[in-house]
Amino acid sequence: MKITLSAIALMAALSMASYAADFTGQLMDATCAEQSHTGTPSAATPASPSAGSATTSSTTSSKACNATTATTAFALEANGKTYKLDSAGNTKAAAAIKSRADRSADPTKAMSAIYTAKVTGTDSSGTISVESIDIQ
Amino acid sequence: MTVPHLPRLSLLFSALLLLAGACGAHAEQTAEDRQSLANRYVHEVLPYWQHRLALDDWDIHILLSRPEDLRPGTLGNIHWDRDKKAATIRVMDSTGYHADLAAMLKDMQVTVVHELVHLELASLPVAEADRSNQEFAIDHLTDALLASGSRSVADPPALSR
Repeated sequence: MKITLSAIALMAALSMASYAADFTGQLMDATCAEQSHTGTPSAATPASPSAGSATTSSTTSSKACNATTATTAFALEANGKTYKLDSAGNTKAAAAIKSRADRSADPTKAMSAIYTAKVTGTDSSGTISVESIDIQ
Repeated sequence: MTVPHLPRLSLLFSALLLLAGACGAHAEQTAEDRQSLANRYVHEVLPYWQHRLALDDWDIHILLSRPEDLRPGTLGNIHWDRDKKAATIRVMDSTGYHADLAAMLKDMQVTVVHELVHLELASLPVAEADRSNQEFAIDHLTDALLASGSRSVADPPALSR
């Protein structure tokens, strides 16, 4: 009986851990955001497991590192943290950002450079394994 | 293939607009009335312009969106999937318009045509720096298309001699 209950609890814990969640926030250029946090070029940043940890977002990176159609590595600022997207997520985000267009209310003014996105996926040490991405 | 009706001559919407105008003399239109008319209108104009722009092979959906669900400073957007030939157009709903009904519907039609022109150009690569130039060009193309909207495709202007 005890073993059965333990097995059920373990399965429940595992299913909770891998449960996809929605993350809504601002889409960023991950390379730029990383440079803003470390103050060093990303090429010099060692690729360590801890590099994927979610970091507390900074206002500086928010202003300077908006994702663009040229971005290849994306991050998401949500809930006060900066998450990286996994490889599949980067591909999906790049496709999504290139496959959309807006109609501006005032064509004489520059459009907002901010992309808000809802990312569905699983967070693992600050990197989201992306299932789907929906850009506003 | 049946050519969709020209939206500007739509009997349905001419009647609805007349009715709305007549009702307006007695009572304010409700927000629900405006939203309902807007929803019907965008669903009527979409197939017409989709056909005019030879985008019949695309599966295009249209829906009204609250202003807060669009990017700040925008009136609508389009998302497409070239592989699936599917697209979704979002048009700002009536809560974002303070204009009268006819002006609101006219502007919604502009959004539909604008986004369809974007879809026409979807296969062309656009650099970030060129986006504002592309928007400028699309605005002009949209104006030109709407200005020629009353002319039948089968009735081109006569060539001058």
